Amino acid sequence: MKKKLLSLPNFLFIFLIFALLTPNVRETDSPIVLILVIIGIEVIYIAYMIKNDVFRQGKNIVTVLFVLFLIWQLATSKFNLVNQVLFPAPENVFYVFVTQWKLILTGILSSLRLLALGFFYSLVFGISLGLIVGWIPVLRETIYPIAKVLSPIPPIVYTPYVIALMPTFSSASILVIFLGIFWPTFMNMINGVSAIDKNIIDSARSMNVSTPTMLFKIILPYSLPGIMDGLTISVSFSFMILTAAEMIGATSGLGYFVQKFAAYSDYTKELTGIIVIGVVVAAINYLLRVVRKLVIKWKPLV
Amino acid sequence: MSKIEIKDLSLEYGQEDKTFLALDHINLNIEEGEFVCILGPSGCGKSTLLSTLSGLSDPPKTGGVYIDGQKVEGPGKSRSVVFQNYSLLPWKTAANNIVFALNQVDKKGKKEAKRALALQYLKKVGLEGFEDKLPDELSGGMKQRVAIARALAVDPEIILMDEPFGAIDPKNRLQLQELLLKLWQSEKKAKTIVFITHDIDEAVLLADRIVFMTPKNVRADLKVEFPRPRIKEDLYKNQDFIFFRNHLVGLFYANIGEQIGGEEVVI
Repeated sequence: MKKKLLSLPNFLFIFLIFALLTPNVRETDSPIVLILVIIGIEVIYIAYMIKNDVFRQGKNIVTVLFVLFLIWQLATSKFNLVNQVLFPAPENVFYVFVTQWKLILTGILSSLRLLALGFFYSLVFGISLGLIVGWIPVLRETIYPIAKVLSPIPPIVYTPYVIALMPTFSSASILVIFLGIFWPTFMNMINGVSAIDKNIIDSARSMNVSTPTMLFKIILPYSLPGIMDGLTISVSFSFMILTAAEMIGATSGLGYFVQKFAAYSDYTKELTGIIVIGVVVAAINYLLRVVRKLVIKWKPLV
Repeated sequence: MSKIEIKDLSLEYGQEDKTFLALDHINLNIEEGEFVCILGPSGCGKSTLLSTLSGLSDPPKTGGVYIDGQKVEGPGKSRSVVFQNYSLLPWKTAANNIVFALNQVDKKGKKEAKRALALQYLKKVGLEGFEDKLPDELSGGMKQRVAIARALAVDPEIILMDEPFGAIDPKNRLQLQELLLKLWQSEKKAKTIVFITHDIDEAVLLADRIVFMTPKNVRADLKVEFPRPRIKEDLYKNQDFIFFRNHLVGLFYANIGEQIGGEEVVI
């Protein structure tokens, strides 16, 4: 236990706190939020360390994180080695959470709402259409080649057009996310149907199952782990599309938040926005992993 | 009328320009309650023959399979199939795999009754207490026990088995063979079983009748007269058994000799 406490992250932690509490060359906002964040990371780290004997990965991640914070703090606030406008102090970036919490929170909620809706529609249509098209040879032969041409077009390309086309920004974002997620889901599903284990299909056919039973009780559950694994990639991807769309035409949301302050060269708040987006995407991915673990017990994550 | 009648059955694989004849004008009758083993080397078409019986194959080129005089056009409730490769649904527990099969033959029945029936059949195959295990948590032999329980639970008239014990280690295989015989003999009205194998000893132990296949066709149709219940160790001491077995081995060798152009082959 004693040996563990003397590890590198803990030294860095003490060093960081010390740096934040001692006087700086550059004048900054209160370091309180940043200190709370760092203490939070340290508490999680220690909790994990006590629970698991081998925790090398976590140790390395925390070390890198703390070193980055330390370099950032020393180069800006402490010794003022870099340009003040382009490289804001970490204290200031995190203090934005106090001054702008309302805008950030509404931004997160607004972005999440659009994301959830776009996601929901694209999954429902992508999975069910993919199942049907994949299962019926005539449809697959006809539609698959067409889909193969349409699917690789990056949604960002037609984002401005969709925003001009749709009556409201929400509907435009939902459509853009829909188009971004629908194609990979649809294509995956078609491929999944043709790649399904022949033993399972024969076994089901020998039981004389109906076509809906085959599609929704055999092929869908069989493909579900693949779909769930694909979702983590899709979430990051759709968040990218969404924030890009928000930067073009929204009046709320995280992309809008970032864009608004970039227009005034307020890079402090822009950095805050970037951090928030990163944390939100990571949180969604984490949530998806938890859901996958609970729903699909028969095929553990690798 | 026999339970199963195979009349002038030919089956072709492949597309228009590249076809492969798998079965060539086969005629065979199987009686009700009979345990028939179809024996033959790999690639002789025995699994294809079974897939025409189960209704999973493409439509035949000539002739067809008739069950109770009705031509087989696809899978049906009267037949259940046990495959060599584990064909359980990996996301369903042992009991739920059986319940799923029961749901396909009886859409209305109560869930509790079906589960109770599933547990009853799991008990019959010696898997009491394993009902809530997923297939991946079971050994290969246990999975095949579940597959047998599933095939029996739907109460078919005919059970089609495609090398069901082919991938099981010898000790477990013997146990499964004995279990299968016990279950088959304990049914009030014996079920008709068509069992595909390339294992001569397995065929002699299990069957009333052995149909020996060479590529595309039936070469020999032999009655197995040894009294039941058959015990493997006792069979091995029986002179008649040794004679009969040698005859079958001879058929195997003759066949391989032919395949390689008449040259003597050492195996």
